[in-house]
Amino acid sequence: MSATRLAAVMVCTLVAAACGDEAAETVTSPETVTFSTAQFSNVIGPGGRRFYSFTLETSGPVTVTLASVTSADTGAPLTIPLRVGVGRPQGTECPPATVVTVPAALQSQFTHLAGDGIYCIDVADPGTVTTPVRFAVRFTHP
Amino acid sequence: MTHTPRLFFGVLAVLAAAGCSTTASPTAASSSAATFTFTSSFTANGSASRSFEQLTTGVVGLTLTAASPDVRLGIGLGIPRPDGSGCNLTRAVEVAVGGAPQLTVTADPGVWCVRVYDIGLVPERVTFALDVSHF
Repeated sequence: MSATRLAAVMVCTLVAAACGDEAAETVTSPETVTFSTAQFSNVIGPGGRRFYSFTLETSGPVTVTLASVTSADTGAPLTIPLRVGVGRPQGTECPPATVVTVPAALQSQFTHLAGDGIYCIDVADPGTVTTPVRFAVRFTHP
Repeated sequence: MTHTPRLFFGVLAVLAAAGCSTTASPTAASSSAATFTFTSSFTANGSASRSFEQLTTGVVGLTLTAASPDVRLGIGLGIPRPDGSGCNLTRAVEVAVGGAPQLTVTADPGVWCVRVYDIGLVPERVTFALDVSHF
């Protein structure tokens, strides 16, 4: 075999092998998780609290937004903060595992990483409520 | 022709390198604001609201561009009630007709709403136009 032919054979082999690893790879498709958006609204007075229970079929992040706090009488928006948390219900209580005290906003205020099971969102007066207020919490979960 | 093998090697090495290239021109993420005008009317002590979808996190701006008769009104941004009966407000201001955004709020992606309402100055009925810019 001439030097030229030998070189051609070697280089063609190298070229063919250069991309060979890609064909051998096993690609695992990522698991698709669908997120749902829900809303929890209610009214609390001074010292009051309300909670809402929901079920997670799979683990994942629960993202919470206290989106509105208004006067229950007039509907006027209020800037007072409320205490919002996520936990697991225990009897008639919802002891929050993650909790923040925030005013209403249209951006998420916290995320709680949860396993599957029953959870609750708790909204409570941190001492700022003087007359009944209506709140709306938006949350997304897997 | 002692140069032939070297030349062959060189050409094929270049071809081999080019054949496995995964380089791609990056496409810059882009987002652009959309604007719509909410036009409606309501009677004394009343209100009107409309929902919209924010596709990406960004600033939502509200501008009251017309009111007939020319009275101050409340304008606000919030979250739609699940039963479709209106808009629970997050932020609101009382304004006269103007030409620049009078209320700006940063919002996550999602369905939000605007509300225009009487602050006690509407004689019988008011017709208004509210510009809403969002992402």
